[in-house]
Order: sequence, then structure tokens, then C-alpha cells
Amino acid sequence: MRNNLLKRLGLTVFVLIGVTLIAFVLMRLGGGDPAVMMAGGMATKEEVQDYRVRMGLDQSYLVQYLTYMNGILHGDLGYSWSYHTSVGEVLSVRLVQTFNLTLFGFFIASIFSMLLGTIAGIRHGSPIDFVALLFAIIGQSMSIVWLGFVLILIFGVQLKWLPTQGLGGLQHMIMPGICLGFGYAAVQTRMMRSGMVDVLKEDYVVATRARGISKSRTYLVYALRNALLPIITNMGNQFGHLLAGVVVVETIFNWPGIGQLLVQAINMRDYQLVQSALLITSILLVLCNLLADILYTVVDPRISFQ
Amino acid sequence: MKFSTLLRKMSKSILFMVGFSLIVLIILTCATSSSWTQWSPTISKLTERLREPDWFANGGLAGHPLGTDPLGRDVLTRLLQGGWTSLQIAFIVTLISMSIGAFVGLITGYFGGVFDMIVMRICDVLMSIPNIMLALCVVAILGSSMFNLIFTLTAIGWVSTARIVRSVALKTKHQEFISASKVLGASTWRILWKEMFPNAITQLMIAASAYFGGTILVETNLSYLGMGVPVPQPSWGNMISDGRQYLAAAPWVVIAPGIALMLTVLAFNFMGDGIRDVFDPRNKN
Amino acid sequence: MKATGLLEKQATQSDQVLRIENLHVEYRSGGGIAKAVNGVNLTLHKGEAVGLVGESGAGKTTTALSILNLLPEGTGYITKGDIWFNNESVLKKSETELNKMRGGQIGMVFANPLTSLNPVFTIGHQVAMVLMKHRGIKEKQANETVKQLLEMVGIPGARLNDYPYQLSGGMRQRVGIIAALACSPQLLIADEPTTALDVTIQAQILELMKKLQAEYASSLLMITHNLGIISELCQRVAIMYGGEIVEYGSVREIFTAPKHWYTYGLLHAIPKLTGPRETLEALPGLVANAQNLPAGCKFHERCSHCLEKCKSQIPPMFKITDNHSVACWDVEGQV
Ligand SMILES: Nc1ncnc2c1ncn2[C@@H]1O[C@H](COP(=O)(O)OP(=O)(O)OP(=O)(O)O)[C@@H](O)[C@H]1O
Ligand SMILES: [Mg+2]
Repeated sequence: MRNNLLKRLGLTVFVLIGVTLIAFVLMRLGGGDPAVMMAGGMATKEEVQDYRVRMGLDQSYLVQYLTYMNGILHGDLGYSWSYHTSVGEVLSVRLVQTFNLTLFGFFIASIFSMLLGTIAGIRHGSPIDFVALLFAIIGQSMSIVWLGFVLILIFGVQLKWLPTQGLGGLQHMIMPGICLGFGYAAVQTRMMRSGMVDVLKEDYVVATRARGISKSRTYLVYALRNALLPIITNMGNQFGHLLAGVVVVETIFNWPGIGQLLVQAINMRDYQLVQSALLITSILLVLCNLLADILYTVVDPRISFQ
Repeated sequence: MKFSTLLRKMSKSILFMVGFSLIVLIILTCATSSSWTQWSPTISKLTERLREPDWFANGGLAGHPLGTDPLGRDVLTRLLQGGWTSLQIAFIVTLISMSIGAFVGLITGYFGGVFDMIVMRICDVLMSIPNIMLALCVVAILGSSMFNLIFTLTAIGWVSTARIVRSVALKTKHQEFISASKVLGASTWRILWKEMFPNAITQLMIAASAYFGGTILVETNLSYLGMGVPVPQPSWGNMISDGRQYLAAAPWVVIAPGIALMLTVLAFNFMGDGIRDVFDPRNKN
Repeated sequence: MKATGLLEKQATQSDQVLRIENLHVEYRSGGGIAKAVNGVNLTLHKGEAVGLVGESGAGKTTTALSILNLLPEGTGYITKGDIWFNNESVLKKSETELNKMRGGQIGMVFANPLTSLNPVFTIGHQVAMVLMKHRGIKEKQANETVKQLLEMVGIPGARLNDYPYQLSGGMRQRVGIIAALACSPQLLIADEPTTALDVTIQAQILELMKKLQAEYASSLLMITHNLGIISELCQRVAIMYGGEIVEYGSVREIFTAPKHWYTYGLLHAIPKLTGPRETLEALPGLVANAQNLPAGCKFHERCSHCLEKCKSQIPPMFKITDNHSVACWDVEGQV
């Protein structure tokens, strides 16, 4: 188990190096000279060249990459030319906001889908099961952009219940959170439902009931644990999708997180900011998958860490 | 499994048939729309801007059944022709990325070795950056055009297919009928194409349904971020994004393409589920 | 005449543990209606071991689940008849009373030990939960008893924290058995406890069941395909076909002088080594389909001595001796 974990970590490091490489190459391939952007349209050639030297862009790509990587190894994520400060500083502020939003969305969506899926699975074939299925099907087919607009239209414009833009209290988080978690909730509801239906057909459920354990206890304590296993493994993967949605949702609701930042940074050709933002996102994603695997071994005694 | 048996089996699944019929209907309507709609999808007419839907009351297609957009263009016309754009993009992207994915998957699964190792690590890397972020970077660099959009989505899309097909290839590699054809002297390509590929068809079709719907959804996301189909050509994605500023005054501009998109993705999901149901070993009948 | 009959009935009722009266069970699902049990009558006395034998699909498991009132919800329905446990109707019991009965007064061992233990709970917990429920004790106390029970069936007590996948099939079935017996129930239902196990293990499990039944002095309803098991363990046997009991009596009489042609077939059948488990040489044809049962005697289509009457009229139980009755038109004249 320990060996496997180490191997897995080694692979993770390799993947993350790959991510920095891709990000680096992509940014260099792009047109648009960041030095020109920094210097502004009125700048003379000398001024631009000056910027180029200061930004390290005059050096070879290899040197640029190695310099960047060396920085990362020392905890320096680079310098953002559009924000005129260190990338680490920009990212850390934004990361907190993204964390708040994704965790909030993930949390409410998880709770909601597990509840709905469990009830639907137990009441297989009932009206509530139908509602859950409908929600699952529609939720998986909806554009996140469109959903955001519709939410704004209903709760922001028509009912005026919720603020539509920016940071603030909890009520600012509700719409973007729902928007972000919607698709995930649909997938999980569906899995939870079918998982519960399958588990309830198992012999061991009847066997538990034959020991005199009440129906509700059998379902909610004994069967639920079995049904939750696939849900938990899926959580890690699904968190990745949720994270991807951040780019769109943060832009729609003007939420100053890492997703919105990435869009701005790409438009500004802020090389190091984009590179590090992608890296951080990947780290999060990879960590979530790892965490899900570890969690899985904890809840399912049959699986040891592979 | 033979393709004909496959089709016969699937025609028995209600879910599949509903999805399939809906898709055919949507494709036919969108594809032919340029010949029977009354308005131009691209020419703006500012005197007609933001008309409310008249629901076919004003002379059917000659009126504005679904209203007009901020530039006075007929929403229904744009919806249908934009749909055709979105569907074409999704179709091309799905086809190419599935083909590449299937090819790569078969080769890596069958031959293994260093090549397999390298390709799989590339897949790992590509899978650990959220698709939309990667697509955003690539399109931003290449500049937004239809071709670049398709190129980008394809460049990212083959990965999941390659993994699926690879695992099928790994599973079938050591089965008897493969060794038998090897003994009989079948060429490697023949084995790959005739013996191994058919085993992956079911999985491929499920993946394709999901990927088709997914591509349509990603197109809206990219459009919203300004990296989608360039204006004035309509697509569901840029129609939805264009309506953002007029959400309060003219919600129909956003709602119509969103519903069309949802129905289409829904139909593809149904189709995928139908295929899955038919081939689920737990489903005996 | 009438009075003595009544007296006799009362006398026997006092030590009756279980009485199934004219039980009818149907499964209703999308595919149609399956008449799984069609008028079963069966009585079990204190300390008695009765075998229930029949081919696959005869309705044995359905009968067993009916006793616990645990038919699958929404599909399985008891349409007629009643079940009396300790002279109380099982069907009239409240859910709380039923839960007291299940596991506490009636224990059940399931056919497949690989699927009847929950894979994500320790075996210790799965035995302990019966004790916690019916004895009202805490898990810690219960674990002491569980350890003793495990040792009793030859599993080291320390393994109570193992998960089912860490145990062999035979060990898992032992766990199933002690979970059923943990609260010393008056009645133990064993639904083919050995079919999923290999032959050597089968013998061990049977030996164990025999020992435990004597020790716990419980009544036993032994469901099986295997007549050898019946002769080992039971005093009386009921032969089931198409959801009906076609022959009933003492093991000795039925084994030496079977009266129903189905029983005869079962006894003379040589299980073939090839082909499905239930293919028996002396019994050609397929088991009656519960979704489409034949009229008259359910067995007539496969019977080598089928009479005209058999095709249309269901034979009643004919009493041959005090210890033997049979539902077959062929014996009508002999009685
Ligand atoms: N949940 C169910 N839904 C529908 N039909 C069922 C269900 N369970 C059993 N049946 C049907 O009821 C009939 C009796 O089944 P049962 O399980 O009682 O047979 P059995 O004698 O226990 O057979 P086996 O030896 O295979 O265990 C069969 O025809 C079976 O197909
Ligand atoms: Mg059975």
C-alpha cells in the first residue's frame, strides 16, 4: 500500500511537470507580444525591448522554462505583469474565493443529490423517483451558461431575491453555487438512485431484515453504505468537472476567483500568471482524485490501495 | 458483434429509439432550415429589434414566431441555422476525435511498450487540466475561428476515447480468437481492425453519444468566453451569450436556444443510455 | 367423531411451532403474474426437523420468506391463507412484532453465503447486530458472545473483525448459521444452506447444523434439492412441486415407499455430471413454469402415469397412513 501510494505520488509529480510544459509551450505559441502589451501602444522600440529584457523574454525558451521551474521549486510562482505583483499573491487571494465557491457548490450539491437519490432509490417507481430521474436527465443536458442566465433572470431580475454579481454574504454565493453544482448534482443523484436500487435487491439486505433489523435501519445504515461506495469514488472525478465550470460561472456572476482570473490573464497574455493558474488547478484536480481513491479504500474494506 | 445485430438490438430499446428519433428530427429541421425560413440569420434590421415572440400569429414564418434579437434578426431562423452550425461542429469533432482515439487506443493497447507508456502519460497530463481551460488557452492562442474551434476540441477529445478503446484492446488481446487468427497468419492490421475493433464498438457508441452532447455544451461555454464561433454566424452558443445584456428586456433571445440545446443533448444522452441498457449484462431481456 | 377430531387438534396445537395454512403467493411484476405458491399446508412441532424438497422454482424460498413476512415489497403478495407461529398469525403482526420475531424467534440461513453477508461490514458486526437487537445489549458485550459463537463453529474468535471477503465460502456460511442461531430461536429455516458449497464443506456444514439443532432444541425447516440431506437431518419431509406440496410424511415411509410419481422420480433420479444441476434422468421435461401453470395436477405433463383426470382436476391430499399423505389421482383407488 505504501509503495503504491509512493508510485502514485511519483506519477502525480510527473503529470504536473507535464502540465507546466504544456502551459509554457501554449503561451509561447500564441501570437501577441506581452512586452508590447506591457509597454502600451505608444511605446518606442527601445521601450519595448527594455520590457522584454526585464520580463526575461529575450532569453531562450529553455532558459525561460528552467528559470520558471526553478522559481516554482522555491515556492515562487512567477511575476504577473498585468497585476504588477507576484503571481503567488494574486493567486492566493483568488484561490480563497474559488475555494469558497466550489466547496459551497460541492457541498450543497452533494447533500442534495445523496438525499434525493437515496429517497428515489428506496421509493423506486414512485412519483418522487420520477422527479429525481427527470432532474438527473435535465441537469445533465443543460448548458451551464444558460443555467446561469436563467437563474439570474428568475431570482435576480424577476423575483429580486438574490444579488447577481460579485462578492458579499452568503446570498451572493447561492446562485453561482447552484449553477456550479447543478450538473454534478444531476450525475450524483442518478448514480445514487441506481446504486440504491441495485443494493436493495441484494441478498444481504433481506438477510439483514431477517435478523430483525427494522426496514429504515437496514436501508439507512446497512444498505446506504454499500450504495455510497461508487458515489464516493465518483466524487473526485466529478470535482474535476465542477472545477472546470469555475471558468464560466465566475465570469457570469463576476466572482473574483481563479477562473475569472484565468480568462483575464489569457486575454492579457500574462504568461506566468496563466501557467501558474493552470498548474494550481491541476494540482487541485489531481489531489482530489488521489483523495477520492484513498477515501475509497477507507470505506470499502475489499479494496486496498492500488 | 455484427453491426446489423447491434442495430436490431438497439431498435428494441425505447430510450434509444426516442433519442434517435428526436435527433433525426432535430438534424433534419436544422439542416433544411435555410431553404424554408423567411429571414436572413445574419443581416440585422435595427427597426425590428427585440420584437416579442408572436407564436406564429403574424403569418407564421413571415412574422417572428420566437421574436427578434438585439440586432433585429429573427430568433427562430437563427435558432435553426445556428443549430445546424452547432450540430456540424459537434459532429465533426466527435467523428474525428473518436477516430483518432480509437486508432491510438487500439495501437497502444495491442502493442504496449514504450509508445503506449508515452501516449498514456500524455493522456494523464491532458486529463489533469480541465477541458474548458485547456480549450480556452488553445483557442485564445490560435484565434477564434470555426476551424480552430474544431481543431482544439478534437485535440482534447481523443483522450477519453483512446483510454476506453485501449482497455478493450487490452482485455481482448489475450483471448483465444485473437491468438487463433495470429496462428492462422492474419496480418496485424487485420487483427486490429477486424477482430479487436468490433469489440469496442458498443463502448465507442456510448462514448460518442456523450461526447456529442458534451461538445455542444462546451461550444456554449467557449462562445460565452468569446472563443466560440465568430459572429455574425449564429450558433446556439453565441446566441445564448448575445442575449446576456438583454436578459431582463428580452429573455426569449436566451431561452429559445437554451431549450433547443437542452433537447438535443437530452436526445443524445437518451441514445447513449439506450445503448448502455441494451448491452448491460444485467439486462437479460 | 367430530369431538375427538377437535380434541386431537387441540392436543397437537399446544406443541405446534409453525402452521402454514393454504398459503398462496403471487409475484406481480412487469412480466406478468407468477403463482409461486399455490395452497401449501405444513405444520412443524417443537424440536422437529422437517425437510422441504423440490426442484428449482418449486416455491421453496418463497414459502420460507412468507414465514418471515419478507416477500419482496411491491412484487410478492400473499393472496390467500395464513401462517401461524406459536398460534399467532404472522400476517396480522405489526412491524415491531415482526422484527422481534425475525432473528429472535425465527432464524434464517440463506442459500448463498457469498451474497448474503454484507461486504462492507465485519462478520462480527453482522452477528452482533442480532444480539444487540434482540438482547438489547451493547456491541462490546455482544462481541464476547460472538467470539464464543465463532469458536463454537470452528472460527477463531479473533477473526470477528474480518470482512466477509477474507473468509472462505464455508466459513461464511458458518457465520450465516450462527447469526441465525445467536438468539436461540424456536425455529430455524435453512434455505439450501449447502448448495453453494463444495462437497466436503457441505458435509461439515450439515454435521454442524445437526449438532446445533440438537443443542439449541429448535425446530428446523430444511429446504433443499438434496434428498441425502433430508435422510440425515429430518424426521419428516414435504415434497414440493409447482407451488404445492404433493407428498408429505415421515422420511422413512416416503423414502421406502414413495407414492407420488414425482417423488419416485426424485428418488430414482441419478444426477448427471454434465448439464445443469437440476437435470435428473428419471424426470424428463422442464419444471412447471410459475407464470403459466398447467391445469389439473401441476406435474401431469411430466408424469409417466398420467390419467385423463390428472389433466383437469387438481388432486386432493389422500391420507395413506397416519404418517403419510399424497396428492395424486393414481393412488385414489388404493386408499
Ligand atoms: N422476486 C420475484 N419476482 C418474480 N418472480 C419470482 C421472484 N422470486 C421468485 N419468483 C418466481 O417464483 C417461483 C418460485 O421461486 P422460488 O425462489 O420460491 O423457488 P425455489 O424453490 O426457492 O427455487 P430454487 O431452488 O432455485 O431456489 C419461480 O418461478 C420464480 O421464477
Ligand atoms: Mg430458493
